Amino acid sequence: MRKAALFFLPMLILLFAASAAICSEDGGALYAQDSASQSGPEVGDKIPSFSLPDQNGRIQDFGSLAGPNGLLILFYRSADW
Amino acid sequence: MELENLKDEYRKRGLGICAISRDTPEILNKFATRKNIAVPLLADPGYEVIDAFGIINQTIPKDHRNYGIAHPGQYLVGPDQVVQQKIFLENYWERVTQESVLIQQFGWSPDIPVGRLETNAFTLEYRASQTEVRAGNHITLIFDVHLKDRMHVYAPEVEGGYIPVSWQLKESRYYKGLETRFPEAEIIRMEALDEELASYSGSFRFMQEVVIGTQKNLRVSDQDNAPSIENLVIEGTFGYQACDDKKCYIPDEVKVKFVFDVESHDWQKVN
Repeated sequence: MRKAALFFLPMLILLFAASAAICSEDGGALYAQDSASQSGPEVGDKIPSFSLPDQNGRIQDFGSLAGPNGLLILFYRSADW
Repeated sequence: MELENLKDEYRKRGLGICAISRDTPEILNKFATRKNIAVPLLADPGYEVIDAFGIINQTIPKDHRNYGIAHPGQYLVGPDQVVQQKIFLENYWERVTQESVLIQQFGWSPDIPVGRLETNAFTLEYRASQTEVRAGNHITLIFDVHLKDRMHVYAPEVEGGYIPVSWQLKESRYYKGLETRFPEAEIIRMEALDEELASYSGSFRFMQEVVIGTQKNLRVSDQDNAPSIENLVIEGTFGYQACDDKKCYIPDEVKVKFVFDVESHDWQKVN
């Protein structure tokens, strides 16, 4: 919480659209609900290949992450909320 | 992040785990340090991977600073990189807890004290996937019914006017019942009646998935600034008619109660 308090009020207003809609629990707010059609590959589909840095800066891909039985991939909105 | 606490359970099952978000490696580094997270958190600030998966939350306008965040959910991918299971919920504030996934997908038994009820016909052991819940959690109630010697009860699909086992959740503003899953029945042949009946004998497990209400639902009152309840009670009734090889007993029911601690979501910013 290094952000100055002064910044907080305007930010609250600016972010209202974002945070109210994204963080609000009853989804009513400004954005319509996301739909399950945006849920990517189906069971039986191959996932796209990927290669991304982790929190320690190490580049990781399927091969470096998966165990002998595969990989659990979790998508989440942000660590910064 | 509950995944951190359960990562060994996945690893024991030969699975790697990772989490992907539209954060920078620096943000993830701070987050992982603060929360002591060892699970690989992958940074996709340009949301190329989130886009390649086709799961960008498209309800956020393209010119918005939050564009590119993922629709939250998870994939279980085999060693051949083929999706074996996926969990994406319609409501983005809801989450199937990792405990529930482990129980429903892998038959895991959580290390949680078990409640016990004893009747003339069976012992019922009950527990939930977890002891703490948050708004929007999909949790799992687990019931292990151990029937006494020679006793049986009827499965939900039994025909012919027999009274099957049932599980009825008490109505509440704090939660909602989803699917109740009874196991496959065994067919017991009643020689005297020349009937085959869908039944359970010995031990069987049934499960109930429950979705915890929104943060608004979890307030002590309808007022906007009302605090959240601290404990959540989930109650329900298990109904049954028990029979042995000679006769059937009067239909009966037992009430079961679970108490949870309610945790609030951690909205603390990294910066």
